[in-house]
Amino acid sequence: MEAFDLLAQGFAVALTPTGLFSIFMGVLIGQIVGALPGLGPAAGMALLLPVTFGMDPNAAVMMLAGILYGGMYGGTITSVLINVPGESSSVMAAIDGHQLARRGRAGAALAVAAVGSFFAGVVGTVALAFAAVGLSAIALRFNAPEFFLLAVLGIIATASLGTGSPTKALLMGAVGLAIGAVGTDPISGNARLTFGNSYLVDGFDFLPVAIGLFGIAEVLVSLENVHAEKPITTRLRDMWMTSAEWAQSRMAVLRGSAIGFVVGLMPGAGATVAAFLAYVVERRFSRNPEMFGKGALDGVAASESANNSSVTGALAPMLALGIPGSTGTAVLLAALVLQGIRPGPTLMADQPILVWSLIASMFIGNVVLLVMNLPLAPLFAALLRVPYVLLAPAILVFSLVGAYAATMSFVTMVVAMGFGIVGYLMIKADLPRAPLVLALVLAPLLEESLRQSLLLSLGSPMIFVERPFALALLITVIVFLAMPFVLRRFSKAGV
Amino acid sequence: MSMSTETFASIRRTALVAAALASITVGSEHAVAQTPRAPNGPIEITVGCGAGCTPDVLMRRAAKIWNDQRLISNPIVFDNRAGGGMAPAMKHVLDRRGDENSVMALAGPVFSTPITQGTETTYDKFTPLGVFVQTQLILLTQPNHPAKSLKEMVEAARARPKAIRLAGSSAGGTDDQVMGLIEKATGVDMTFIPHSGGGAALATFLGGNTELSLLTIDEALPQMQSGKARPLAIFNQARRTEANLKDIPTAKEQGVDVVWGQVFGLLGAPGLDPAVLAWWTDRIRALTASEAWKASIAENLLGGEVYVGPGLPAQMKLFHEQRLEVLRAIGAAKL
Amino acid sequence: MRNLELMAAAVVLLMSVVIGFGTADLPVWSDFSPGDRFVPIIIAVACAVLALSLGWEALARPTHEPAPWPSGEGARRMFLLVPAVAGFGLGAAYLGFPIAVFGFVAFATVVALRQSWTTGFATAAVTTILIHTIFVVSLGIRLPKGPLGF
Repeated sequence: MEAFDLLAQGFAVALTPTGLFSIFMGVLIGQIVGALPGLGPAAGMALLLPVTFGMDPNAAVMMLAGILYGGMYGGTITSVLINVPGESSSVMAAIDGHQLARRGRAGAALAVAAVGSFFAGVVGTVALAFAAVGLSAIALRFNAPEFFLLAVLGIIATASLGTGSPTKALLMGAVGLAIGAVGTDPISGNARLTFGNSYLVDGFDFLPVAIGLFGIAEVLVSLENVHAEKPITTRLRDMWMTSAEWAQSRMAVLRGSAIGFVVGLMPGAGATVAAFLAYVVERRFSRNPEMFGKGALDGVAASESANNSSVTGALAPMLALGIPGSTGTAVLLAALVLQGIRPGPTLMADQPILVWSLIASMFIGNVVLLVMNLPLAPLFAALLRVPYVLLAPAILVFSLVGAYAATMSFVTMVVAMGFGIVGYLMIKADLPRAPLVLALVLAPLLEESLRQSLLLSLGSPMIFVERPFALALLITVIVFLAMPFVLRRFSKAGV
Repeated sequence: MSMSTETFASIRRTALVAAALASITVGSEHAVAQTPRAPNGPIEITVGCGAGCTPDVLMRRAAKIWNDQRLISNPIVFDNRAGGGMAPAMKHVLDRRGDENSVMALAGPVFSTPITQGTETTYDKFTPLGVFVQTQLILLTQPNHPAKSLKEMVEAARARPKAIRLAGSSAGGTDDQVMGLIEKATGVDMTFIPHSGGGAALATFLGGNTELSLLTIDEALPQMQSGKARPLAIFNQARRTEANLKDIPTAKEQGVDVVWGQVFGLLGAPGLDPAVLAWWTDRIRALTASEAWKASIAENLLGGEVYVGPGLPAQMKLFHEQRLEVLRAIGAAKL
Repeated sequence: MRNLELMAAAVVLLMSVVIGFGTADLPVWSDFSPGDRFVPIIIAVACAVLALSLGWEALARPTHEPAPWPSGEGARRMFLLVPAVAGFGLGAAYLGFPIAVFGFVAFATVVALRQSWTTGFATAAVTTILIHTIFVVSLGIRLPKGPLGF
């Protein structure tokens, strides 16, 4: 049991005062940047990268990784409480979690997210510890054709989002794709739909759009409703989750963790896609799918577990092969390079202490985060007792400053403002906002992977059938498409 | 490969000439009586990509040595402005005419972004301070591919046009440029598969989906050592001398006349006081002469050619022209 | 609501036309893979079809509720807050973030939301201090300062 020995050595490093301090600082900062609208964990890591320059490499990596998964916990807080996704993968929590908060169940939503994230983090870390190399080999079987089919699956699923007509959901999905088409073409590098405007060259980033559509629009609509601003006055001890609520979310946590980890393994898919897929899958399994979009606790549980385990999953190809699967792991790799460590397939053999202390630190960090978040869930929820007329202007400025800070550019802030107005009008017209932002995330994945696939196959569409994982996904896509029709048949036939 | 910066590791001969020129001009500079003057207050280095990208890492290393060895006493701070092919970062510094504290990290996009976007060139608007570090590139193939050398790979490409695929980062970036140069030098036709970043491209290659991958030496070495990739050629003028790299033949000695790499350095704001420029020239020379810097260059398998002093603007023009030519050849230029 | 839906449909229809014309100079297909215009064209067609069906749904629906526009106090708030948000952006660019944050929160609470001066200014002060502490002090983000040096 060589792995156990190495893990023990890792714990020996992680449990030193320096180690514990780095882990604690990492998860604390992660929690904060995750909670701040606009600034995600990747941005937080990049901000603190220079600080780690002079640190011991083990401590530096433990701290930066702490920011990465700590951010996943933090993102939930803002999503649930004020409906602004603190980081992009918390957008599903913003939809259902905030509805729960409005019903006085913010504490339950935060608690289930914390428990789910903890479970996902620990199980993911165990998998990472004992199977990183094998898992990353599987991850490499996923490439452009699989990503394309995954994105197609996502686009189909957006139709089921929102509570109104599927036409509206699909229309908003198409608008999201259209917005995603603006900017530099992912394959040719040509400017597309930028109309000569240099600010459009990078296209529309997900975060300012989500901040506008969810955060700013929501605040505006809530404020115009003069009488609906009474603070939520649930008693503190009633804010925790009930055992019935936990029973309802258990399986969601399990499924979410599994889906998140697998999606996280694939370089390039990302935590947002993981959270979204876990959410739509959970909707299929849930006993009350009609609650999705209106405050489904199991939806929050699934998506929040998934984003945390995807972060852990993404570490497998990074540690075993030196492939950064996400912006966060890319910054982590950069930290290694800054420390003079060469990432790659030889990392685990050359730097066993570094790798294993990182893995050990993730166990400790997740415990710290659980201890931090669980008792605090009702306290955070109590923030909603501040009168909304005082809270709302602060939410607006935090969102806008966050949007600015993410890129240090006023353009991002203006985008957030613009989409705030768009979101306001969408609420008035009863158009769902979630399909738009999710299509925006999926747009580059969809287009890039389609075109890469056909470049790889030198033009043959058979690439989607010849690869085993692609074929499996293709069948899933067909089943998803056919299901509504089949179900209708059955119900007509009275089965 | 780790990012879309493209750049040029010089022809060693040119470097020698440049170095000779530089050493001659040390005297003449003093003759012009341009007494070097340090800027006041903190120096802000604007980097056109996120923290941890190649130019960011290289300049942070330089800054650390400058400060640690007390070669520069001003605090050095970094300002990462990612995106837009470095255009927003360049604008940030170009707007600060005469500002002694604003410095831009030079990387490939400073040359290539104006070319690919068809906008006014920017490299000639800055006050160049120095080009002093390069990354060098290795072309890799799958361990089990029948081609044993670049020459054989070229023959394979000739036999089946477009069938040889290279997974690289963005279109028009270094990987695309090198493939274009190989195609131009040999007359073959290959397929370039662009990715959103170096990591995604590496995943495609390691998944066995393409024949070729282009990496910097430090990225390539672990893949080679673990047997996941086999080197075909290095695009330097001459082979590296390290034990684990000396057997990698240059492209040139295999009859493919391509010498290419990525160059990094620093650019000052437009209209910088010549006295401050002279100070930077001096500081860059002191840096590159230090043991700490030399050790860092050797350890990270970088190229350490130094271009500073009066010859630099002409060298910058040469870098630009080389990129313009390549980007035109691969159809990515709008200039 | 019906008018808003028809408007939304019209806007999306316009978008699809813009995408169609805006990508006219790009190739639909190149060699053996889709070109720059391939996906945009599909999106444009999807937008157009879905916009038309939304329009049809809106017109075909027998009953329709009026759009929930605010009136009275709610409308007054929107009328003041939306320009204030834009003003915050301008203020942040020209006067620096601390002044803009304080000014916006004070205006929003006191003028737009009719809170007392003391409550409003206290909220503004707390928000400004929080933003400065979190973004500038602990994360080291250099938010633009104003002409007065803060």
